Amino acid sequence: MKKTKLLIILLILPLITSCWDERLLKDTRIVYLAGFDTAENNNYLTTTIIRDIIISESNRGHTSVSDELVMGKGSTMSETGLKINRSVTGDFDLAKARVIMFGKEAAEKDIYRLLDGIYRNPRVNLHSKFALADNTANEIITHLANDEMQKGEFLYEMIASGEENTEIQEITLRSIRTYLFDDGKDFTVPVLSLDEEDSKVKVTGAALFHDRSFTGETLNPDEITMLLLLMGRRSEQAILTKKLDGEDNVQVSFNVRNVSKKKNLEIKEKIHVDIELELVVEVVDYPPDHLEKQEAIDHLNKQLSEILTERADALFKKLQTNQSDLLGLGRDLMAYHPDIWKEIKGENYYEEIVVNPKVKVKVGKINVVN
Amino acid sequence: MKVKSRISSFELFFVLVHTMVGVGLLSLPYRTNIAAGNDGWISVLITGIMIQLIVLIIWFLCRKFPNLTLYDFSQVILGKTPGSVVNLLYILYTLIVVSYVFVIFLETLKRWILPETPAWILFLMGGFLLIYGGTSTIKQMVALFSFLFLFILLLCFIKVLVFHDSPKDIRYLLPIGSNGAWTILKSTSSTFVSFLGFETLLIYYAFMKQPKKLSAMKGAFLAVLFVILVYLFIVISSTILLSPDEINHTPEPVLYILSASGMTLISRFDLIFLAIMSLIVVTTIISYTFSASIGISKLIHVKHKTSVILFGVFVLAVSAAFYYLELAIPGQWINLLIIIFGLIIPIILLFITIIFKREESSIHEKN
Repeated sequence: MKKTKLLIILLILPLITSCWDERLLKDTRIVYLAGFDTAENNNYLTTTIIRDIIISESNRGHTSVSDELVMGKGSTMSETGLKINRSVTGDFDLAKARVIMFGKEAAEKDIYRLLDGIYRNPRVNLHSKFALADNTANEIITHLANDEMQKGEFLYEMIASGEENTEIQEITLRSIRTYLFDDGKDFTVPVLSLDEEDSKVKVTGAALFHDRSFTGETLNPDEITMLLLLMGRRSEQAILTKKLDGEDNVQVSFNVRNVSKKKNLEIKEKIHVDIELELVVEVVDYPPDHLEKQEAIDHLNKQLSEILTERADALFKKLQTNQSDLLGLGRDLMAYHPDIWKEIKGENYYEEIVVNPKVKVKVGKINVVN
Repeated sequence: MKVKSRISSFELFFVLVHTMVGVGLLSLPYRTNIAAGNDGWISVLITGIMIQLIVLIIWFLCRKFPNLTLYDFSQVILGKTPGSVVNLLYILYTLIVVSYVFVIFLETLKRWILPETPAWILFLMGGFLLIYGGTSTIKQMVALFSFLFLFILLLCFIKVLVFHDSPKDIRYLLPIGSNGAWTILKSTSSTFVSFLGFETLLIYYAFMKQPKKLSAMKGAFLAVLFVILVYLFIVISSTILLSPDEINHTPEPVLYILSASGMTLISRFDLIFLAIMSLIVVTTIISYTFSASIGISKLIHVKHKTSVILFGVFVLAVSAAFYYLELAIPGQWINLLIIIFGLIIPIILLFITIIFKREESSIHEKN
């Protein structure tokens, strides 16, 4: 009995070694960063930086890393991948990609069609960030390839820190898919551009998307912070700087501590949405001071509320012209007023919605100095 | 049938939970979403309540024949030959269910984590585990299942962790009941398949320590309740995390959500989840094999071990045929089969028992 059991175990052992699906680090070419652009004749261009790990045999297995810029053209995304495979040894593998970048022109088309191949691959890291290049992705990646230190991780960290400062909406490949399939909600992605003066890649704002494509309009970081606050999202910190009226050259910077939002819906000829936003802020930079007096605080509250309401109003006008429903008002209608939604649903439902924002600022806690 | 060792109500809980939680869990939100949209969770709840009632019916039937499995009392109720026919049908049904689970899980494994591994390796491994697990005694099986229950809890923990970490939109659940009562009721037919396994109670009840008492059923009711809660959580969390149209394009939302989550230390939770899930799916297969083998050994008078091997060979043959010929076993068939073998036949048996006053004592009279 013992012997037969042993025999069975010995027979089964070779089966469980599972060497079919091993993926050796030395065989795969790790991609940290990939960019997609449109090219002439309805073709696409993929640009990536491939990391090569070289294990030198002479130097007792000492490993060194080298990066290589590669490009591939083709009529679909996967064809561009195949072209890249032909030009490098090993497999082009998006499993470790940290940032996926789209060129401006590519994003103006239906981006789901381009991303489809990525979503179908079970190995792809869906947690990677998504960004838009203000010109072509190729330009930015080529620049990064020449710059020794700044590669995929650099872009990832830059976007992540923007998210922490409430300057970029938190978006990953996975959450984009949720938005793309949702008729009542739109999203923004960070825009990267190459600054000619100091030749550095910078985040310059966010691109507004409608449905499945880029609208062509971008928001500046200030507007996005405002927008994210209106969406009720606040990350670690959200600092705004505003110039006060009536006083010469007086700027105040404040960090939003707490956001509370009230939404109210009213149906007249159009659908009126009143949004009342209450921000509790702490002043981080205010040269004139005197914040120990209640009047000074009241004055500041009033002025900031006025300024921010005005800004919010302008922001919603911008969203309206681009039909970009970032607050998910369409989703709100679907969830709470399905009968109204039935009447206005369609691609341009946002035209039927008028938003009246109102921002109330309350200066809270006082810092180390009054 | 004379059983050597008995199980408590508490141990019945583990057996039933492990038989029920299985491969059906991975695609549950997808199926409910297609059938009932955002009201899928109501459909799960209704199905769960129906299963509780069916379990009650099975109990009414089984308590009349303490210490007898379905394979024994079918002959008492229907007579020798018709009883054997019912037994044979149940064995064939179990064979189809196990092959179905086998094929579905194999395809999932190949799609998500083992694309290069040849299928026959996985078949052999599954077949080995099936035979090895099936030949154990009920006590050994309970010991294995109660230990592996920790892994079910671990899977739930992973799901909660990822759910907590992902962007949510509660509005995807609203408005509640928008799909209409009729659609929701109709959709229960596609959630039934996820509760596959409750009908093994027909066999396992014979192993109960105090079969006459209601307290014996506590384990079964709690098992169904546990499964309902797990499924509700899975369906509600998937509905909140993914937009309605997106789920319709994602056949395995449970794995998809896990694959897209990233924490500081671990990303790709789906790989871990599926690896642990394999253990849970194997327990489903072992439990079914065990129950079918009791029937086989009764039907053709062979030892338990021989019948397990026989069953294993048939399962491998059927599932390999379905896999390599690329025939899909449609989920609707399985649904229909569960309703026939889990509900209709027990009810018929129960009616005959009540009307013709069949009891366990009737065998003794015959002998």
